[in-house]
Amino acid sequence: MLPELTRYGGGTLTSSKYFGTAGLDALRAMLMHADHYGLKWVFVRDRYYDSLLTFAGWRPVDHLDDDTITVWSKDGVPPAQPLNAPQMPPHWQGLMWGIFPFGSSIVALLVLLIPEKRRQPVEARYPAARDGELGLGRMVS
Amino acid sequence: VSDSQVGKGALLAGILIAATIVLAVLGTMFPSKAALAYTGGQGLTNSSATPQAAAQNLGDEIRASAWQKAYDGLANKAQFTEQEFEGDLKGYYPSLRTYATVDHVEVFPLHASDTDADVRMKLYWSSVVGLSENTRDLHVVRTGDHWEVEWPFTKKAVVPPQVIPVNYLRWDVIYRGAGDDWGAQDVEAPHVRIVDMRPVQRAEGVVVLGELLNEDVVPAYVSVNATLIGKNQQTIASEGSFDKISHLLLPKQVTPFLISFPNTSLSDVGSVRMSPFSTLVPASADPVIEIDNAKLNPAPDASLTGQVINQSGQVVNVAHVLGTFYDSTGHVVWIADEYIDHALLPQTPESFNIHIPEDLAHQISSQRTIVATYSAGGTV
Repeated sequence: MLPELTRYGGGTLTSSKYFGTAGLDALRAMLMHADHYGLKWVFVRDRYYDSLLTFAGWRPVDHLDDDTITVWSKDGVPPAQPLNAPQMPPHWQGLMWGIFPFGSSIVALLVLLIPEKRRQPVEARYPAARDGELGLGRMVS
Repeated sequence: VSDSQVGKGALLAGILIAATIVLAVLGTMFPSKAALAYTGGQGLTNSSATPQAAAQNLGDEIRASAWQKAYDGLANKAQFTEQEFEGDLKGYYPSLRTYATVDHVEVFPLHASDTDADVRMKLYWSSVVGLSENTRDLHVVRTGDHWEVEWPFTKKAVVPPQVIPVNYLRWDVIYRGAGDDWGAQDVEAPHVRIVDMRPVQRAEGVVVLGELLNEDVVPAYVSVNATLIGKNQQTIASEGSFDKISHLLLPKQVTPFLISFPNTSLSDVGSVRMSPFSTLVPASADPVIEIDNAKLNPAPDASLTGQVINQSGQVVNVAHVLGTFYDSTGHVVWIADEYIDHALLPQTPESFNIHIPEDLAHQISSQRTIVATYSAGGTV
């Protein structure tokens, strides 16, 4: 998580004004550190933020969607660079998150595709335990 | 799964459902004040049994934007309408206050007798550029067994009909074309120069102060970045001037800038690398904002006070006053600012009060004030 967001607890930046002081403080902190994050352009549909952007050194460079969206630009912002944040997961965890959640869904679909006749013999290998015998899933009390 | 396990599961589900119903009923019948306030109910309002409580209730109602309830509770509501009351607080023209919300309210007793009292109410408005404080001294009168506030209503400024000729300079820029990259320019950037710079140690960290001059003959949109370099030549931190600068500089204009480096120590700094940026932009010398009655007030409560007057015919929605303070040798000692949270109407003075740190006040012998503005367009 970015420190600008965790410090103020402002929620999402796209709706900062609805989070009161915390949301606006988080937004200002984020704009203040635009250079750190390679934040070169901001797309704004709400004119509420125009005065903040004007005084913070951003200037409108274009309008989109029938002038309802303003594109703001900041000069001197270097291209974004990878951040060496402590929360950054290692490469192997990235692979896991990319493979296992999606892969488990694929496996579940494949299991459903196995014909029922093939699954029945597997279930038959585990007959119900008689009274007094230990069976799978039971515990000795 | 045995029958006993099924029975235990059903019992647990039953307990959870029953507990949910009981808690929902309790929450509905006995809601907390904070929760009730958020739902638009009558929460956070206490009995107006004391002058402070009456003022606090009024502040809480303003905070909740319960304008009708706040207006109905005023002792002098016959003197103005509810719309005028709301306009008195939030402004009649679009400004920082228009879309601001009250973050919190403070009430201080000033004087009290059996029949009336004076209290000071401080409203802290959360606007898009930060918190702004608004102080109102309220007269509170006893009415029966409770107290009611007499609101110090300020009449709306009325600008007389008039024609204001506009003959100020304006610079237009013809760009390459509509298909250009955003913000890309083929022209040389305006020449700007840092004319003064000094790093100082403050309690919160290192602060870099200075002034930037547009020495070109065209307007420039400017900003300044500073990088602290350690004694081992390693970069300590890099920050920008953000809003502690006037970004639009007309030819030969000078702006102060202040760059903060929180949690850093000047003793660790070997050098400071300054990076001013400038871009050619279209600009106009209008609106002209006049600074009137600027005055340095000594410690305690050192401040720079004065008035700003909009000399143009357009409404200025937001004004940002930047004060530069110099010592007897002409070097920059401190830079401070204040946003005017009311719209500047033509020819109508608005006061400003910029706080100066107590420990620096004795070093200051002169000041220079400039105003940056934002206008959404439109006239009165």
